[in-house]
Amino acid sequence: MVFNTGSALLDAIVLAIVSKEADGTYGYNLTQEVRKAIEVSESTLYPVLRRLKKDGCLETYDMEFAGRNRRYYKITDAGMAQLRLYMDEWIIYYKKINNIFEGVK
Amino acid sequence: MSRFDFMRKLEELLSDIPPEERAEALKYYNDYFDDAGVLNEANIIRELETPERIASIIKADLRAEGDSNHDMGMFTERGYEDTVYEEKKFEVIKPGDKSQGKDGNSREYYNDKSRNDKSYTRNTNIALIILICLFALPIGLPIIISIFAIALAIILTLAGVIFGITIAGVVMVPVGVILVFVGLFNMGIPYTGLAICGSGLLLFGIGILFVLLSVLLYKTVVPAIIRAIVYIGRLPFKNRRVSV
Repeated sequence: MVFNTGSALLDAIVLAIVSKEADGTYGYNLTQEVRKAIEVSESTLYPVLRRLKKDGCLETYDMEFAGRNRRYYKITDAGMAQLRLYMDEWIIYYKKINNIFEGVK
Repeated sequence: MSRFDFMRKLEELLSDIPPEERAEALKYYNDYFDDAGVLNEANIIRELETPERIASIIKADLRAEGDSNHDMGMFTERGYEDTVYEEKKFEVIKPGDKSQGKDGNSREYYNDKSRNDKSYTRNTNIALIILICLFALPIGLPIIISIFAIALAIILTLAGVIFGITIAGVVMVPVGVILVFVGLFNMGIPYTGLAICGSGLLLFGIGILFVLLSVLLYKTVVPAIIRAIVYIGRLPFKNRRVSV
């Protein structure tokens, strides 16, 4: 990818993926989902998740899977509000950029 | 490095952060390995690189907690955390040079440099280990072979002694019986008949004792010897088995 992703955009991507599942999602799956859009390494998301949890945007809980407890990340109301804010900002941002790109021969 | 070595080392490196932070991080990476499956283990470890790197990413993030500035650097193709990780390293190396750190280009350049340095030392380390192995071979190989030979000799000697006792016992019992009869037939010759008869009984008794002793040895010592042989045979593969 040629464009760098700011940490706010990465937060927004993570929040959006987590919000899509009612039960939330787990670290490995989240990394795979993020990778569909941007290149991230296996070690990228833990600090992001930790920070979002500290900020009250995500909460964790353990659910049994295949005989062990898997940690799930779930979006909170505050996280949902934050995500909407990010998405509004993103729409404004990409429209501006598109306006500039438009008409380029 | 195996998954367990990786996690153990990571746990060790995180020993100086708050316990709940440590538990959270270890849980995350343990789950990550579990969900990725055994087949992806090597790939993940390669991508995570080293426990030291992961630990420093986690610690950098914890240190940044106090800062009001949340937006640390940019997330590049190499991953958001790489910037944090390398940036922290950069600050440690050049404490007075923060203004330069804000500049994306110079930081990138520095990152590339430190990356190359790291792989360079890793290569020389491997070369050194191979060299040491080569030099050790002429001395090490004979020593290893002789240790194995001595072990084998001890085991064979023990087996020989036990087999000898058995044969002696098995032979002594019938010979003793025969001698008793020979003695009885020769009772006409004073003393000689009694002496032959007595030595026959003596042989019979010792023979029974030897047979009993050898049965006991077969029950206890022989299984131990077999276990020892198996153990010695496994020694060269022991480390490999652990790492799989």
